[in-house]
Amino acid sequence: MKALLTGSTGFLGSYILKDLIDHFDHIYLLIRKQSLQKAKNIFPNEDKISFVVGDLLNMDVIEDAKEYQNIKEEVSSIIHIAAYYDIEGSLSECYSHNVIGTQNLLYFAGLCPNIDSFHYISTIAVSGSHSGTYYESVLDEGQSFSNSYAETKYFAEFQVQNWEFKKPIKRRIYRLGVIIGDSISGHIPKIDGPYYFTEFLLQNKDKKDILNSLPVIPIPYKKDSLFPIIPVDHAKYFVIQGIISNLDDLPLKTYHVVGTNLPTIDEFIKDCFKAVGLKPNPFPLPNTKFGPHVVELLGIPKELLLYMYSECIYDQKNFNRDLRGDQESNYNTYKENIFAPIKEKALEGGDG
Amino acid sequence: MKHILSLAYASRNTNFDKIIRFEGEDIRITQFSTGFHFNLTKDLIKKYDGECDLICLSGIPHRIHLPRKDIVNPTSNKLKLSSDQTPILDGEILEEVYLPWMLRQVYLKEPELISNKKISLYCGSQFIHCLDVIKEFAGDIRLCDPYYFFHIPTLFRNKKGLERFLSFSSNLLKKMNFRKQNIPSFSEKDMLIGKGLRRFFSSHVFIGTNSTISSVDLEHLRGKTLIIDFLNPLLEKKLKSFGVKNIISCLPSLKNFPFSSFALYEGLLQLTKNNNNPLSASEILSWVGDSKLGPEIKNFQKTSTPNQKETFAFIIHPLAAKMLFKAKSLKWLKSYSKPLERSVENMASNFPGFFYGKIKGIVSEKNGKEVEGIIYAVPDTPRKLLEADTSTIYKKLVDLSYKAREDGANIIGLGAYTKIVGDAGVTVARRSPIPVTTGNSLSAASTLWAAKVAVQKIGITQKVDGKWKGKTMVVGATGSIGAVSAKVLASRWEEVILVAPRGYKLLELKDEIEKIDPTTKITIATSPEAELIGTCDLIITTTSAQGRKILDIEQVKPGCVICDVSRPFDIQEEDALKRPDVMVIASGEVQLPGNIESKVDLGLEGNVVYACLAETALLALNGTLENFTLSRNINYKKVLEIDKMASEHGVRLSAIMGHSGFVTDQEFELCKEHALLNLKNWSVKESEDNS
Repeated sequence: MKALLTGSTGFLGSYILKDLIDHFDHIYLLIRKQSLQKAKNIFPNEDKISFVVGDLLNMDVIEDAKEYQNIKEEVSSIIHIAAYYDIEGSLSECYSHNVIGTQNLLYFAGLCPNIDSFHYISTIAVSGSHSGTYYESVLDEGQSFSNSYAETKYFAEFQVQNWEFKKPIKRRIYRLGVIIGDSISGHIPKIDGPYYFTEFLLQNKDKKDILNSLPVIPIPYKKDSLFPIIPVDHAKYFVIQGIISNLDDLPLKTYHVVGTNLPTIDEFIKDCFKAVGLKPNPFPLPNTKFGPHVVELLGIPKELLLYMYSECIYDQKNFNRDLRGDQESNYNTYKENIFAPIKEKALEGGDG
Repeated sequence: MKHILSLAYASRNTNFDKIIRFEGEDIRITQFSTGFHFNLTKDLIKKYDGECDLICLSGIPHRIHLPRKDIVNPTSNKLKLSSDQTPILDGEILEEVYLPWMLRQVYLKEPELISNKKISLYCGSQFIHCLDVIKEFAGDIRLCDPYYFFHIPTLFRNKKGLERFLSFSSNLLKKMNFRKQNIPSFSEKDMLIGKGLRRFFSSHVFIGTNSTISSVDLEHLRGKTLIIDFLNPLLEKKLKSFGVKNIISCLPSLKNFPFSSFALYEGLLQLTKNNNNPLSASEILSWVGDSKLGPEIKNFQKTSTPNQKETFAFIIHPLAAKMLFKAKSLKWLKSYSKPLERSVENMASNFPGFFYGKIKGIVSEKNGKEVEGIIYAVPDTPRKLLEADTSTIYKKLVDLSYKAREDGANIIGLGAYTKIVGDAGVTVARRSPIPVTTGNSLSAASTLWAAKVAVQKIGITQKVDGKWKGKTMVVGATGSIGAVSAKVLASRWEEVILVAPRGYKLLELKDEIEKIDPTTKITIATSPEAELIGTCDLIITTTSAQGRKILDIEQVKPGCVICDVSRPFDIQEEDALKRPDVMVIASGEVQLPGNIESKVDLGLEGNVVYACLAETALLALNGTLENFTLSRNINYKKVLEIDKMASEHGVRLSAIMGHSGFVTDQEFELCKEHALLNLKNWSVKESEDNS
């Protein structure tokens, strides 16, 4: 069994690849020319993987014609993790990487004679403005989107769901929650999502003092909204479960890969405050037009506001049945580990 | 393999990447929908410039051709100029040649869908090359360009007005970018803004481009017909969910390939032709001719035909001058109406007919089919109708029948005096685009029902073994309605007296009736003699005596029911008043089946309507859309036919009308009392000649 993997140099991709090697005879990694060196550094001297230079934005994905033919004949699985994950990204950027990239890969997959499965990493952000239960089997609930990232991921998932393959192949879509650091080491390489705020505080020490002098810190959020997070190592575990499972039931399945015991936004913000050493309590502001200005003051991108008032509940029936296994993803058990590196940084900052 | 990049500017989620076979060649088409994002579209063109053979740009506005100049949309222009190597096509050449031809095909193939309908175009300028074709079959065109471009709620009804508007505003239009926000929502709430939009929404057929339809509110399309330049499966699903009745897609989709657009077709044609010169109109024409393309007509409500509403129309008029003062504009004059009546009456008759109201919720008891009635009124009083030149009245009625067809009615009925004017509907029927009926067949049938009920209510004669024990007389028995009545009555009464001036005809009729029921005693007479009249319990008069006195009411037996079918009446009202013990009835009014919803004031209550209106409704219910009853002669077969229809669909007698309005149960009681009293000393008088 041979697989083609995209996005292997990314945060989640590199996590997944490490475990994936055990389950495949060979894995081709689709790497952009400019990332080739980085990839070679991350995965040195591994027999079972080879680097394929290509770009999802090219209509023919793989650059070298000979390699193109070989891989086309050989692969049985395609695992598509690569995406342009930037909540502040422009529509053009998001569209070309997420929509066009996915479509080009799907077109390539359609040409592969031996392909039997296509795994695609989506995001729970495709639920957009939907409130209420969002089912795994449903994509279109008439939702709208506040950022191009979510919107283009929605289009891309629509593509994966509706692509017409010549023969029926297994299609698995993993809608991942907001990815946070490793549940054991707390390691996170990129500042995004929930880390915007802590990072901002760590870099602006003077502002921290001002904030500490306040009785409460007003933040636009809804107290009981659940924060759909998933530590990267848990996400990896669940996705691998999906890739290696040989359940042959439905050609198309979608999973909501989020933690099993989620914190509320209130809980999470309080823990953040604790980690960076803020004493006052957060004060939830109602959703008004001033919201964007307040979050900007706090160094959080406006687009995150939607999550702060989310009333979406993610149905996890498929996930619980097929992927969960014995693995728990309980916030209370890993939160210490998650915030440990931040606490360290905060202390360092205090010293300096 | 040849490769086309297709950018759908106005769609949101119609991406695909496919290899299709066109004219014997495999071509890869990669489509991205960019959802009105100018920068994204431009970036994509720049990115794939030189990497594919052609770029097809669909959903952008095309050049508007005006007699002196063309208007080019700046957005389209900028996009089309953004590639350096790969040519960009937008389907303009194909559309110009193909669309008018296709609209003509739609008309030839399914004329009932669009012919003589009101047709609204969201943006007439996008179809300016088709307007001449549309004009040929449309009943009325509404071009909503001022609203489309500038949110001004007004419309044009011809090409000339539109062209004038476009050349006047061309400098502005040349600077307006094509953005989704600029396209008005066309939501039905906007109707409040102005009359123009109300008229726009009232159309039956809407014509719009794919990009317009994708951007506007679709609620107003419920139950309507939509003609769209091209369709994709997602939009089709959406339109279906909004209850659009018919969708006519001008561009058929290719086999196994549901996505089409003019740009894409033009691209395919360009790529598969032998040379690299741009496509010419004649090449397109020859391709269209060869490929046997036709419009794709999708009918979504075909399965629910039994529930499909049929519509009929009916014309009424004020029965007296004082009724004119019920009109809103004249209400304030009501208290001083008396001296003004004449002048108002004269004035009103100069106005054409108008829409008066609707009757909804008529549901057949037989098959559950629902019909809707549109009531029109002419403002003429009976006096004016009979005095006026018949041709003026004909014109008013024919104009209304055209209006009725425009409003969707498939048959029209003439009410009250409008059916007496001139040749009683024959001329109107000849000129009207839809069948016409006077409703006299059901009037006759309902009169017979009324006669029966009246006899029952008086209760002097009794029914034995299914036959009334008594005598009945038909005056004018050889006439059309007289013969019908005689035949009907013969099977229900012990003895029937037939009166008519021509004896030989009477003998023929007698033979016919005896065949129907040999047990009935038939007497014939050439005039209603006193000794005959004095014994009858039911007299039906149906003569063309034109008001001449045909029988002496003083000689009639007490408790007799006289059913006066003739118009004008045979029995004058003052004569009738002389005999309180005789019941003179004029007609029977009927009630319609179903829960009738009506805001129309017909001078009647509840479900009760005039029999002639009921006939029109019945014909619609039964689907018998023909000139059912015309002229003054009534065919007895038609009467039997409508009687059968009435009992099947649930049209029943509800009220008996006398000379002056409803006959109430009290009046029947009173009449019965008088009759019982007078009967005691009643003896049949000898003929006046003998005395």
